[in-house]
Amino acid sequence: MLAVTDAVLMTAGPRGTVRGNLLIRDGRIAAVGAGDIPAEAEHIDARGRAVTPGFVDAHSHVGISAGLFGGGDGNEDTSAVNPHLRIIDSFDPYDDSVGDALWGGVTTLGLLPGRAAEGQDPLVEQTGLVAGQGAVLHLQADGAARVHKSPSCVKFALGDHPKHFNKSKKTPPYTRMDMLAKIRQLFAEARQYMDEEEEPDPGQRLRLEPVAALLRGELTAAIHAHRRRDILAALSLVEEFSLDAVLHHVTEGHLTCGELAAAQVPCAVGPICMTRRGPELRNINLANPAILERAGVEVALITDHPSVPSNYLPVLAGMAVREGMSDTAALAAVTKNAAEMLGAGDEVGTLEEGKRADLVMHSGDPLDAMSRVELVVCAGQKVRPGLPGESPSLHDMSLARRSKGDDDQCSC
Amino acid sequence: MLLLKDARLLTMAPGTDGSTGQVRGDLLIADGKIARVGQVSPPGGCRTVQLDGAYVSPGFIDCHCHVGIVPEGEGWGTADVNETAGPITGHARAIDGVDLDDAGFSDAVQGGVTSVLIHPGSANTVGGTSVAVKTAGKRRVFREPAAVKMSWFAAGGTGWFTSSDIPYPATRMGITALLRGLLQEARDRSEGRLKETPDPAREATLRVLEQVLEKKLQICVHSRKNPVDIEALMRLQDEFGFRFSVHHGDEAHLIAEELARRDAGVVYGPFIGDRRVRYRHANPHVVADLLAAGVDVGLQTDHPVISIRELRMQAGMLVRYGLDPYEALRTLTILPARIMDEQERLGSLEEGKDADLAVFCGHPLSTLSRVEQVYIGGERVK
Repeated sequence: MLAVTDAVLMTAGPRGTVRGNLLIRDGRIAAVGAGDIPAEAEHIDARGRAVTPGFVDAHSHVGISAGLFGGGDGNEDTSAVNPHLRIIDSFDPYDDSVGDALWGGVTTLGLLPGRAAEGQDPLVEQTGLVAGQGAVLHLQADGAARVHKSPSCVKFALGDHPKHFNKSKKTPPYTRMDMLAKIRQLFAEARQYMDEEEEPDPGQRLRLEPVAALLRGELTAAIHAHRRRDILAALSLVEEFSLDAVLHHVTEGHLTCGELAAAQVPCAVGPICMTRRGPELRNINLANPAILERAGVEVALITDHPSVPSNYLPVLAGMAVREGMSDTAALAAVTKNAAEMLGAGDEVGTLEEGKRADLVMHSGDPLDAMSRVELVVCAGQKVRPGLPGESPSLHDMSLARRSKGDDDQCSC
Repeated sequence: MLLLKDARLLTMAPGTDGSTGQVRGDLLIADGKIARVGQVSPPGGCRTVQLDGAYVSPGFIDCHCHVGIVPEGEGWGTADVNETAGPITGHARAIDGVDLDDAGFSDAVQGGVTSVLIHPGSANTVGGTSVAVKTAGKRRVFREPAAVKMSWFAAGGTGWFTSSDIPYPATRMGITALLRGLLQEARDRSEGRLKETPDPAREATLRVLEQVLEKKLQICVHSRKNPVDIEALMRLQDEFGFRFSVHHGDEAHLIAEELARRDAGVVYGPFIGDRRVRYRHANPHVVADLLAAGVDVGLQTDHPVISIRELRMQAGMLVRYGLDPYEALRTLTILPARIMDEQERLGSLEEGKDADLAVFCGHPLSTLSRVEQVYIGGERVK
């Protein structure tokens, strides 16, 4: 039993922010706010520090080999349409990047396929048209990862990325016309498969079952789209096939907010701090999340690790606040909303009774780069120093003069 | 004349209170320079801007970026950054590839960055000369050439160089030998033992290297991962004598004392960008080790690798991992000014320096603070 006392509990749930205690029993949140703390519980005195839910990154490639030796594991670039692939089969739980996430307070990951390998020009991103099936992972205090759901979604990519990919491999589609045609064809095959009375051959089943699950509403479609035109194409697919979908990146969301709000499709936006490194990012705008929020679109913020390292996830939310997003929406964008988009909203994403006890204690504002992550708890267990990939701490170094008054280092 | 009234001035000047580095007071600007710092009563005819306790920092300096030489929104296909015609392109000048109207400069201003050192890329052993530019205002280019860019990046067959028929050296010893030969040639030339070469490009390279030997131009050396390339350059320094600074310097902390002894600065980063294998070693603790050894450290965005607008976010991350906020702010201001040899005019709020500064609603390194105003040469540019 673990009790965090005298904390500013930013629940990201209906109760908003409350000052008080949080009790953890059997890895679950047992009480939030008032209430007696049993004497046998281990106490952590937060002394008025902020405590948030563990952060949730709805779009990550943590643990997926970038492939300096032996090729990348994120993108099967031998063909463009690969609904049968599962990203969990490429996940390396011993990769240092798992520690990056954990020490940054990121406790739940939406793992997606579709990522260029090391050695290709990192600035010409490449992604398969149908890259495969995603997974949702909960990180554990000992650095292990527990699978919440796999498969959790099927990843599609629209726009320039799959075009680059296909041109480099000399396999069509080369145009948006054929891209959309190939996706429609896949859905048509899946419908045929669903209507088939005889047992299909195993290869066909592995390939089409996840697509059929999309059509039955059992899986989410994760659709990568940057530009307004590709966002609109994604929305037309969502409508045509009645998909339960989340749009990813949504770089020109601020130019498409009317349509996105009308369609009520949630958006996993970002990473918002990128440069205009190609035509697709020409209109990148840090105010995008704020504009989408005002339009009534449900927003999550993503790192797309390794595009931005996982531990910057809360800082991206801080940047969104700086550019006009509300504090509440920005916190939800890296906790509650992200969890809901991953289909894990009942389990994580808020500090509420019954949920998995994933939480983070901060030295200052949780969304400010200047604040430290002081404590990470996963399923009720404190993450202990010494795990691979532990973020560097300068506290013991001679130069690291901490400000007088440990608590007010962040004086903004 | 312009008076900025009642600000929290983060002066970065010697003698200020080291714990906060902060003076509450006024700042007078005249003729594009800082005229007075402290309690100033407005002279006659002076315009006054009330800042009501807002933070003011010297304009930030990014000593390693490619703003304007890699155009925004077009990708690297149209970039002018790597002249991959051969390993030695010392005749190439970054200024000839920089579009001073590029949107990247306005990003810099939005992030409080007022001075940048723009380099050719790292594809070549001698990539060309770098240029020092203000990000906005009337007089933009303030030092040309400002440095010469060198790199051992070609070693190991990275496959970047298919556009050249001229063979690149394949190993670090090959690259070092190529440079040693060039430096020897430049020395022989300057000592009158050699005449001009008939090849104008080579002639231009040798003239640049002569300035390096005269210590008028510093070498900026690209170093990622382990410091083996820096060590090669230090051996050449022992033979020929020149000034250099280390760029990226992912593991420069391993030779921190040696760098301090040689008065070589490190322009570190970027460490918030694409964290693939080659960036694995890039971590904030490297900066702390270097500073503790007495090495001048500046932070870099390598824009467009990460956005120059977020230069200060990296300094914020140093604070997150325990560095003192004032110390972290020095890596964006006075320390990079020293690395560029521009400490007489940039990097602190002191009388006589360029009036390049930024006004923030909160601490400059806080993610949540907005850049409210930016001045370059006393002119308001945001």
